[in-house]
Amino acid sequence: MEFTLPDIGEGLAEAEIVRWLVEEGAEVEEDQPIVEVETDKAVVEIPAPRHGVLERHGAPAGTILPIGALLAVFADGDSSHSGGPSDDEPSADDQEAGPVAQAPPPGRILATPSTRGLARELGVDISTVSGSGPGGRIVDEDIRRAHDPAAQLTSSGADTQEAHDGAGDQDADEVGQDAGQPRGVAGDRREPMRGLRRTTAARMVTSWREVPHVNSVHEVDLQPLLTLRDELREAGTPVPLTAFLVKATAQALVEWPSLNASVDGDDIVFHDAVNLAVAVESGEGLLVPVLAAVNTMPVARIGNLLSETVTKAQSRKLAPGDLRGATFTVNNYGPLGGWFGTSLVSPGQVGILSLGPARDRVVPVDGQIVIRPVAVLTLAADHRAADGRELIGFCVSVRERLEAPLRLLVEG
Amino acid sequence: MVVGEIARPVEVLVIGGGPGGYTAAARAAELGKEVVLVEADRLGGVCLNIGCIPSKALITVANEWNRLQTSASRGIMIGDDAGLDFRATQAWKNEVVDELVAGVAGLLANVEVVTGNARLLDGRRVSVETGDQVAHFQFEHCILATGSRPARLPDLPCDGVQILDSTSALALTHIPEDLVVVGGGYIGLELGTAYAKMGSTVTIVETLDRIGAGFDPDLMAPVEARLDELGVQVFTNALVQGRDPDGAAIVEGPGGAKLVQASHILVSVGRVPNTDELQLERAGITLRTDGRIPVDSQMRTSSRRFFAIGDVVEGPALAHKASEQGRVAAEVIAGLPSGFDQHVPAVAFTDPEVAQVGLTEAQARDAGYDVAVGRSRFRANGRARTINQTDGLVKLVADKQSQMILGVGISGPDASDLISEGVLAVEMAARVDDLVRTIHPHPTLSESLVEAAYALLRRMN
Repeated sequence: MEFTLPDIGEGLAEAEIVRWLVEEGAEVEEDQPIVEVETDKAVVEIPAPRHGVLERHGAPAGTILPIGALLAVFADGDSSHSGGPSDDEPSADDQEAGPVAQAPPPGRILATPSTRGLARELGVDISTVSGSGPGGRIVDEDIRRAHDPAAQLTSSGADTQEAHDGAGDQDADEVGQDAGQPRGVAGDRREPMRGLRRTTAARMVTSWREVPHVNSVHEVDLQPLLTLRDELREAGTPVPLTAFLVKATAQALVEWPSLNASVDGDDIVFHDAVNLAVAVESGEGLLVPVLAAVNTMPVARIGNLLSETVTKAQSRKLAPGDLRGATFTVNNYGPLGGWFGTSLVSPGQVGILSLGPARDRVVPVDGQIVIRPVAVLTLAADHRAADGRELIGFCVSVRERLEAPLRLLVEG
Repeated sequence: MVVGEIARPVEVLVIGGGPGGYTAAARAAELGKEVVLVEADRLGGVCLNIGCIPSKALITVANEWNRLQTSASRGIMIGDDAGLDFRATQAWKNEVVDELVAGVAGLLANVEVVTGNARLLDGRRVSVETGDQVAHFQFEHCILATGSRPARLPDLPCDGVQILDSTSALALTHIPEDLVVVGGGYIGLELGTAYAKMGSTVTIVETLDRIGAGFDPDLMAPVEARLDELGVQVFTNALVQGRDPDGAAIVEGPGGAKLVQASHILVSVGRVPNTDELQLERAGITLRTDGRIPVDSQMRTSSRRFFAIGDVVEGPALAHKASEQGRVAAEVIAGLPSGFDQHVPAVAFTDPEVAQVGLTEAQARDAGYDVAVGRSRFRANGRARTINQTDGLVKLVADKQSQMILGVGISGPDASDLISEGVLAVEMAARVDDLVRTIHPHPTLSESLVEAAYALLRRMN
């Protein structure tokens, strides 16, 4: 199977192979990083598209490859292609123009439409599944097995009844292996964590284990900001709320550099660039695409970039490059609801700022009782890198900017 | 555009109300999306109004009229005053079209239909012009389903009176005296055959070395024979250079130039996608050299909010392909794991009808399969004899190794309906055995499929 260099960043047409992380002939797991490539934005790791033996490097380190060029060859009997946009007869026009229509491959996917639908549902690449049905036909069982090899006998459902009926001995083995795990109860559904879910879980455990968390909670009067946002929307130049939050955070980080840093062993690394990761619900889990150098970016530009990035995230079109290089994270979870919440610091960073929903509150202003939309700003930070003075100072900095948003419009 | 123009937000915007567009819109609405469909002309698109439906209506009448000519042998006597009132035929055809268009409107009960011309403003917004009014929409997702139009020949500009395209050919009020059909694809063949049966003198001119080049030659042989019987003259490896001062068509072939009398010339040389006036570049969508929009198997274009389906994307320009792609696009937008990966059958309502799905014999060999072929002629089919339509055959193509049915071709009575069993077989990865063991009722035309399967088995053992 040929794995071509995928599109790894906006507008980037080529990348240089920095070094191979895996030898030729080595067996790799799906998602295991196999090679480092450098674009003019960053060095990114390309993960293996599937489990298998990486037979051959497509090119040696130091080679500059265009997107879509052969990156690696995986050993398997299949002659299908994978990786960047390609089809069986690539033409210059088609590759530049983006994804190309796929006709049923000449190699015949021997599976009924409903089985093909199951493969799509479970995220299984059906072209890599071997069929156990008559004449090599792929049946539902083959798809489920490819999806999770251990789930053959523990998943409930009519179509695995045949496996149960004849598999007395295997049942016993399964129980032995799973001693310590709760026994499946009829009606349970087991789904292995894959892809985004699995990656997120691992990072959360690391964060929990290694970062001593401390929180700071502040209330923000969002009236000026909401008014400004509405005015901009009326004027036909809408800027999302999150863009203001991003800008305010970026400016505050410039003032409080100990929050734009990383803890590395016994060192604290202060980052020059302010690259903010913005939390986005993708429908399949939380993604955090990165907006680079936002401290020098006008709010309107941040707004446009945000919209583009969010939609890319939601349609899972983000490239590995879009998800790296963050120095701090911002999470506007207001649209989801709640009062205030705190998050886990992303490994490699020292802080994450969350903004909750704006809710009308009775507040005193100049001795008068008024109703204002108040939202709660929460900072979760790595106590190794910053003390109370810095945490609170930073939050106050963000709050002040959010409460006087016109300043954000003119700051560069 | 007026500065400060407010764009109306909409969840799903479908541009085009043909089979692709209306199916996508109805499905999206069914899945709970807020949908606006923009159509420049009439709902139902080309298919309902100036394509599939009206042509099949005329073809039906042509066939009925033609059958009556030989009905005496079956004991049906028609008087000397029996005739074809083509105006009445057209009126009936128009009724059929109107009914179906109304049906589509009913299907779109939960969709807001806007009449107008759509143009992209950027990757998020579309402007729709209705008369002198302009409305702007800002969508979450947009499905491009603008279909296609007949290709033009610069030497034979269509005037709708003497030089026709498929649209004007379907709207004629009189049977043409002498009809020259430029292009031997399924549209030219269908209309040419129909008018020949209704009284025209028809000539078909094709640039390739055979007519119906998209179909297996074995399937086209009975069609060629029937055209000959109907008195239709066919020129292959030929083209129409233009008209002479008397209006005759100048047919240039391997033997030299020839004048063919023509009261009407039908130009049916293919179709072009309607992508040139949408201003797609404003969304960063680059067209292929053939004017089609590149998409992936989820019908997504390179611009993340846009989907494209039907005649504007790769593949045969067929209504059923558009409908299925429309369904897929709507489902993908709704977050379902849908994809377009099915086999698309092709049908020509010629005489006999021709239908095909999967690989032809030649394609299967080229793809490297160990090919076995099984044929069964309708001459041997009891039902075919009782309806007095025994021309044609069923041709099955299979892989000897796996016994999988790779392709099904049918040339004969009701091929257009019979093929669907073949489509199911190919889609289900059926083996020859599966077909042979499926009991087909007797006496029916469908039994020929089983007979062809038996022929295959004999070849494979």
